[in-house]
Amino acid sequence: MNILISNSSDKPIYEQITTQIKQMIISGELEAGCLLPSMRMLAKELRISVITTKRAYDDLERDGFIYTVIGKGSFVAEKNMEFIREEQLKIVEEYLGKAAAGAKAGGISLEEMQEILQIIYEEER
Amino acid sequence: MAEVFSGKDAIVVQDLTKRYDNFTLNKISFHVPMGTIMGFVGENGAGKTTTIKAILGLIHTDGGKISVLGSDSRDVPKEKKAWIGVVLDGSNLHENLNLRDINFIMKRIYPSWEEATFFAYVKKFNLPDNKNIKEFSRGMKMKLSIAIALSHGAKLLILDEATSGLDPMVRDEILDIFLEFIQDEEHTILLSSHIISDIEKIADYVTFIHKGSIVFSENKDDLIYQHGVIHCRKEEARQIDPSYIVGIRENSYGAEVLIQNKDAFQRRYRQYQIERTSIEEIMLFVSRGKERM
Amino acid sequence: MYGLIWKDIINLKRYIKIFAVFFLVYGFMAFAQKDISFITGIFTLMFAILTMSTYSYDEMSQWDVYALTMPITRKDIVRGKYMLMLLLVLFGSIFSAVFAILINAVIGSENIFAGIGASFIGAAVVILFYSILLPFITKLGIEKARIILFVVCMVPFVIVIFIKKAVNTGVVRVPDQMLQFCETAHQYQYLLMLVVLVVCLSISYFISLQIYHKKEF
Repeated sequence: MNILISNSSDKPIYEQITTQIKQMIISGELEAGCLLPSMRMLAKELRISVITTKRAYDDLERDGFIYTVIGKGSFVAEKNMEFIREEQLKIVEEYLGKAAAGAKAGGISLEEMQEILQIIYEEER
Repeated sequence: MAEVFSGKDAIVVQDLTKRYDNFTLNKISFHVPMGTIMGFVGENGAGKTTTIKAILGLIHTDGGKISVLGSDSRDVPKEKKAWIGVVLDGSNLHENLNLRDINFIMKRIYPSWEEATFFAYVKKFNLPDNKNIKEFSRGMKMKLSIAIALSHGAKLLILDEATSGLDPMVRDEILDIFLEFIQDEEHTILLSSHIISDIEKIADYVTFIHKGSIVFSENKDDLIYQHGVIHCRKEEARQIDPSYIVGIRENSYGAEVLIQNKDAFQRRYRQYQIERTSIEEIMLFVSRGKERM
Repeated sequence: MYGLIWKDIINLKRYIKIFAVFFLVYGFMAFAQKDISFITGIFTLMFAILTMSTYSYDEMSQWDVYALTMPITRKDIVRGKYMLMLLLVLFGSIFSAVFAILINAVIGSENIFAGIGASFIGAAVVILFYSILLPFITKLGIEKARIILFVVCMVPFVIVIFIKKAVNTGVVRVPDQMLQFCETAHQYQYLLMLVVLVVCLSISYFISLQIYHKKEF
């Protein structure tokens, strides 16, 4: 499992971890039932605080991507399509938010934006 | 919810007060949860060593209560003291002793002394086993003290400037050792240091003491993510709601403001770009920024 | 506490060579002069002074503050030092007694056990001095206490010399009851000495404990 964190990114480290683990789960790199490293071990390997890894795991559990068995550890949950869709929606919203901000700054209208989106969708098909 | 902390505190300091002629520790309160690394920072003379001495029962106090591993600091039973590994600033070992002598003596002081562990650390730290301490460099003496602290089954490490005399590579090695030590969730570390980068690397919580008072004692992530620095004009700085302001630094071109409650602040003042900050910067703003205000 | 005593003994290791040389030299002199009287005093004294060296070592390395973070109580530290002092004095006097016996045997004197009494009286005197000295060392540290040491050693001598002179020149008349008391006391001298020692040492120990408990590091 490869997790890369950047100290200089604006994104808090726990968010970087949750994002990467979620992507690995969605892509299938981390399969359901897979045992994740303990929070302390992860903290040590990444050289960050245990509180950070705990926050990341708590968030992952809250969002349904992992579950914890006391005494055993944290495991990847079954791929729940709904959760995954919600997650992707969040990512898309973030991108769209950036696109909208850029559009407004450049004086591009909503109709133009919709046109662009349509072209992109049709291209990718 | 994932469990990684036992919920107990290794150290609880409550309203600790100590008066010296020209310095007073004023109602210090903070606690160190078990299983965590607490970074204890502050400028020289701020009261770090005094606080640590009070925790260890080395000085008498003028008020307050301290509990260490569940016992009152003034009355820690002998057996519990064996669970506390201490590294003080400087070396406290007799110069004419060598490593074998030290092992011999410690074996007869600590019931839980682990000879093999001690010599393993000695080897890892490249300490000469046929020389007297007199011939050790400052760095070697530090490493020796750390080796001793790690060789008697300690559950709580209290370190006063333990990494100051060491070069960056060795410091790095030792920080790794501390992270390894914490793998057991019943192990705790209280590390005081003026090398903020070390604290930023491994601490879970940071307690900042300034002129005898605690400025903050918080978890490091919250600290770093809930504070930020904005650059603006001096007049703008004066317009900002003071409840967000931790400190202001003015120069001829404008002002730098350290703000807290970053999320709320950002929602309210969308026009400002908030830059990420560091513990060192927070400390500087607090100790110097407030004076300006 | 025993770890502390070992610590002191190990630190004193370096004196072995110096002592060995001294013993040989003085021993030879005693043999040559056919007189053991001074070695009994000197040997006991040499061992006795070692106790103060251990205080110096501790002070220079700031050991005490470190030791108190270990499973060691303040009582242990005080007790360790008193025990060390007694051990060294005892060892010193036994050593000098044995040495005296040997030399007496070699030089063929009539009473080979003549040195023993002196050795142990010497030990008693040293212990008495330490009873007064140790609380001062505990309170002031060894460096400052050296001055006290000087005073403590000189004062009794001065007093004794003064009394001797006063009695001899008839300035002071010793009442008969006093002389009688001294006579009876002389019979029980060893027992009396022991009692005085135990009492002084106990008071000294108690005072040192009180001082050390209040100490701040």
